[in-house]
Amino acid sequence: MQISTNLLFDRASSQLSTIQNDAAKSQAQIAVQKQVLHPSDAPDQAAAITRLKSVISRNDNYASNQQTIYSRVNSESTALGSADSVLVRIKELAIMATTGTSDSSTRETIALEIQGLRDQLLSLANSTDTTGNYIFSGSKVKTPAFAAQSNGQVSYQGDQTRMLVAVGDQRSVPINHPGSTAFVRVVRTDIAGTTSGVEFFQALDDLVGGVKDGNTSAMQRGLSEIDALHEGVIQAQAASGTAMAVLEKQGEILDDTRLNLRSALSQIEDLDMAAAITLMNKQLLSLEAAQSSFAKISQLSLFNYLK
Amino acid sequence: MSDMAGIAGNAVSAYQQALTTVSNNIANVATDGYSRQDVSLVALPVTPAGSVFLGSGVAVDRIMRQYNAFIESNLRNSTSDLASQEPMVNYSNRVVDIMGGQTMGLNSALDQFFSSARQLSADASSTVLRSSFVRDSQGIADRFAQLSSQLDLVQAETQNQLDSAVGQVNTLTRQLALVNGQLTKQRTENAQPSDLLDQRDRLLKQLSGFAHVNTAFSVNGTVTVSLGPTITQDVVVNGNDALRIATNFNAAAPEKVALVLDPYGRPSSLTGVTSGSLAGLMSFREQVLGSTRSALDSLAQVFVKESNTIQQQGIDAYGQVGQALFKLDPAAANSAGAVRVAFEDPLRVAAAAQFRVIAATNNTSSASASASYSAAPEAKTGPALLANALVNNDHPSAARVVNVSGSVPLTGVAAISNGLQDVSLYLNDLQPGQQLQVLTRDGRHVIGQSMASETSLQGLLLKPENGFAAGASYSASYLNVSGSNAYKGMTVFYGAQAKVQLQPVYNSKDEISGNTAFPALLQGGRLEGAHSGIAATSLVLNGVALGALADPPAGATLQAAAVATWINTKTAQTGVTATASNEIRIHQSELKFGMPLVINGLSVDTASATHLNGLVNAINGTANATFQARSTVDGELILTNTSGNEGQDISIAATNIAGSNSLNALGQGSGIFRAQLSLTQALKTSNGADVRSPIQLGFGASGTPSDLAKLGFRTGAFINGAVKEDLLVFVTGAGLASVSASYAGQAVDAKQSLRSQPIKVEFTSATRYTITDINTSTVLAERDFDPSQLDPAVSYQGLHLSLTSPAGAGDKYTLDGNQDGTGNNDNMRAMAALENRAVVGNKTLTNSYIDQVNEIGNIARQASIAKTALTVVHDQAVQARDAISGVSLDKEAADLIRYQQAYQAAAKVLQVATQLFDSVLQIH
Repeated sequence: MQISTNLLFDRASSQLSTIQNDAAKSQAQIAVQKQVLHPSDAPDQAAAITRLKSVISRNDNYASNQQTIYSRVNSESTALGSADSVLVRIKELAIMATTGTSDSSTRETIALEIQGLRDQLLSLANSTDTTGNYIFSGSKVKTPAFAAQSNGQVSYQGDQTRMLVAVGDQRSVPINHPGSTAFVRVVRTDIAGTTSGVEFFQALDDLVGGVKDGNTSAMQRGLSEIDALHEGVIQAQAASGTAMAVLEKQGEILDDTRLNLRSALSQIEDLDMAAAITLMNKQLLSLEAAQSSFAKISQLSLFNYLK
Repeated sequence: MSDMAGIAGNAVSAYQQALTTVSNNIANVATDGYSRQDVSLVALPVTPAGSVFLGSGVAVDRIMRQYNAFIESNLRNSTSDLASQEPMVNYSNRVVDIMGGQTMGLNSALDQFFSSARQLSADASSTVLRSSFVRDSQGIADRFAQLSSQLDLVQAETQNQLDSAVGQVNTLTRQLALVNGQLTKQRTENAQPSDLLDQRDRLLKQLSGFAHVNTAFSVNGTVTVSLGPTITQDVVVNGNDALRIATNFNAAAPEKVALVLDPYGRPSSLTGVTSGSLAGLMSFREQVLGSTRSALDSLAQVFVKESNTIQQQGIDAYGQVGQALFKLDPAAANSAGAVRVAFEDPLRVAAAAQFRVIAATNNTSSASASASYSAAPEAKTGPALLANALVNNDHPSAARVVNVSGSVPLTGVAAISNGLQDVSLYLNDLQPGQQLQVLTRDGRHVIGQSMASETSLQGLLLKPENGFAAGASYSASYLNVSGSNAYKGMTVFYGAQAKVQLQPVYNSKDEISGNTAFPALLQGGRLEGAHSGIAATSLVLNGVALGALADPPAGATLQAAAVATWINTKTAQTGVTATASNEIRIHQSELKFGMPLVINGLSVDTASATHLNGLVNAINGTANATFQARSTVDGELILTNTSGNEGQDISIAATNIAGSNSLNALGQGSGIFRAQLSLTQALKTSNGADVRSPIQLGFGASGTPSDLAKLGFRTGAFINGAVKEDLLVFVTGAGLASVSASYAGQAVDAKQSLRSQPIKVEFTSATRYTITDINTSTVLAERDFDPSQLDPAVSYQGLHLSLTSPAGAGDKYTLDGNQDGTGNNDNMRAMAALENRAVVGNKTLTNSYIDQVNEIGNIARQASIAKTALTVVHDQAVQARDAISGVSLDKEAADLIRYQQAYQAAAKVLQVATQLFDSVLQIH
């Protein structure tokens, strides 16, 4: 079969450029250390990479949320821990006041101290997180949780909303306790036998009043109520402790998940450098061979012998 | 003797030609489309010389063009096939790279958007995070627009390329026609100059790059070219003629393009272009660009719709219901390019839930409560919506028949939607004991006859399948009450009502500047002809009890005039004047001229009455008549009582024979036409303002709708002004009746209505609670509470109050529209969860997008594989052509040497011949 001169050159140049393209692609892959340079090179692989990146971005998000929430729950826990010790002290003082040995001036002092501790509790109940939001106000984060109303009583001003935040695809954790579930009401039965709810700080104020006045029954009632108040704070503290433990665990899970996802991504996205460099060397070798063989063959012409 | 010099001369000349041909081949070694030429030498005829024949030398027979028609055609076909894959591969890859790029694709923007939503959900009150969310919303809107504009670019580019390809096709076909013109000068193809045929084949090959061509060659080499499936269809070159082709872009679907043959002559559509770059471009635009574009557009629409739905379900930082986050710019050509962020104010991001609960500070239980909303189940049961159940026309002719059975004496008619205005429901053609009843879904009886003492009826009525809430209980506390003690402050009435008529007054600018009031008129129908009067405690007119209406004399029926007199005894208190009248209108087309007529027992002489006025005159000519007739311009005959006899019954018959029903001149059946009542109330003014109270003829303690029916009035249930809640309409009492209705206004969204009407759930005991509307103090529901249930909860119209433990007696919970819960993140969590929701078919937004990109990638891959295969085919075709028509320099060099040597030899022969001749000459 006759090979025309034109065809010989055309073939050679197209073959050379094919090898050159391959080598250039290998070189570019090595330069960016990625398997897929353009999505069109390997659509399936590119799709898998994109999917994984979405999932990783989501999990990074969960991790950052987990940290935000942890710090918030931590603030809550700290405030409740302090409230716990304050209440222990109030109880000590209340017991001291109810013993028969206290005279009116001692009780006055005790009442003063309980009053001070109650103010401290109020400021704890109105704690804010790092962004200045009231921790115990439910979703009314810009409103102090407890404040004196027009009638002088300190009342809960927040709502009952418990907010959940997703820290995993299937995992949401509550990030707040409404103040009314931490600083609980007590149920008081009056002489007529009717029961009514009395707010946390009102119960404390009544105790202060009782101590001041030396009203034994008020002091006794206050003493028993402090147990209920204390119980509420302890339970809330336990709940936020649990929440923190859950969050820590979730943090570990997230770290694991992210590590797994990253290594999966690396497998399909990153380049095997050793293999790639070997491949490129092979390509360069075949390029050189093609070039030199073409140079040789193209020199062959009958015209060389026409002298 | 054969001439030696002659032979040599011929040979030199022949080899000179041969060498010229070789030179030409060498010169054209790189010429595109050049076919190698070969010299065909032929021995010249022998000449007889005595007994032998001597040759007479050599001559060039012809210069042969090395050519194989089959191989050329094969090359053209493979060129077309290869060219059709080229645009598919290149442009599809480009689309994949645009859509699937890490930075350019939609995914990174979607990830960023949801990431912002998730971060905001961790701290919903943060203005900084809200700003980030708005910024990333902007980001995704921009990304949609960028992708859309990139696709626009590809579209514009392929359009240009198509146009230019069509232009080149037209140039090539014109050139082919010119070549054909040149070719017609010779008879046979062999006689044609080689370069002309080369040019023809080169043009055909170029043309085949744009579209598959069918060719037919004639004897002299002229070619007929068609772009269609056969040589006879879609012919573009025929002899000296070339037909133009053109593109036709579809404005509605810009990616679709049609080819037109002969656009300026006799246009016809060119559908047979199956391969070549034209076909490749067209199929790229339809298969890849079109589907990508529509997928991106529908993704944009879904994203905008879903995110807006979520945003609109939440509450923004101002306490308002969220407005749409994205809008679609109607000016943009496609949805993806039209996505815009609707607002920039970060505080308008609706992160919060629409409802929340606040426990009263003195609750005794430590139950912690939460609120949620889902559409109420009872709204799906019970009577159909008013708009579906009845036409908006209160005339009896538009009424729907209601058949109430005797065993379950109630039937649901309609559900009046919250938000409708001025609803009037009428009970027509009722049976004694039937009532129209309007209740709330919680059993509050709003309009109708009290069922307080009918516990079995209550039991039958208050069921979930009738549209009532589970556990609904009956209450008549708000029955027919208007004003401050009314149910949610609604104005209602049960009975017969007529309003002051208002007619708008227009000013010079055609605006309504005010209303002119006309006195209220309550027009009754014809009396029933009852044989009894009305009991003393039955009817109340404008709040004034009417007392008893005496029975008519035995055997007689109730007369309108007597009723009017009875009503008018109270005019001073009621302000209402009653008049009785009887008017019978008959159109002349119904009249039967020449037939006999007896009115009120008096014979009318109808013998000469052959037209309307004749009959009027005949009636008016009757002696001692208490009736009179007149005609109208519309051709109606009006029969009334004479002055002083108003309100009397009028009987019509053909004869005085009782029971006869033969045809009379008025064309009416024999019978009594009873009179009608009309009640009017003068317009009143108080302190200069119109008092526009309606005429209200209602029921006293013992009145029933059949009492009103006796007087010719229809009983209705009226809600004047707005309906504040979904209401259910029933007819109670066995028998057939019909109900008609009229109303105005539109239903409002149940959820938004609930938000604006905060409610209070109060546990009156540990086992019972009431739900109260805080704005109006209306008790909306009273239900039993089961403290033993696992998840204690209270539901009201879709609003759910969940308690962690049973509530104590006296506990109160307020459920409101969450006007200030800025820290609430409920809705933003829903926004973040959109990422994992299957909203496009069964795929998430992200996956649907990735799959779409992947699909285009696969199309590109297939095209790429096809291209590789077709390249091999094409290479083989090129090789086959070159093997015949290509120039090989080595072969030419060999030929060069061969012909050169032959030439030299021939020259030597000539020299020898010369020497021979010289030898002859030297002989002396």
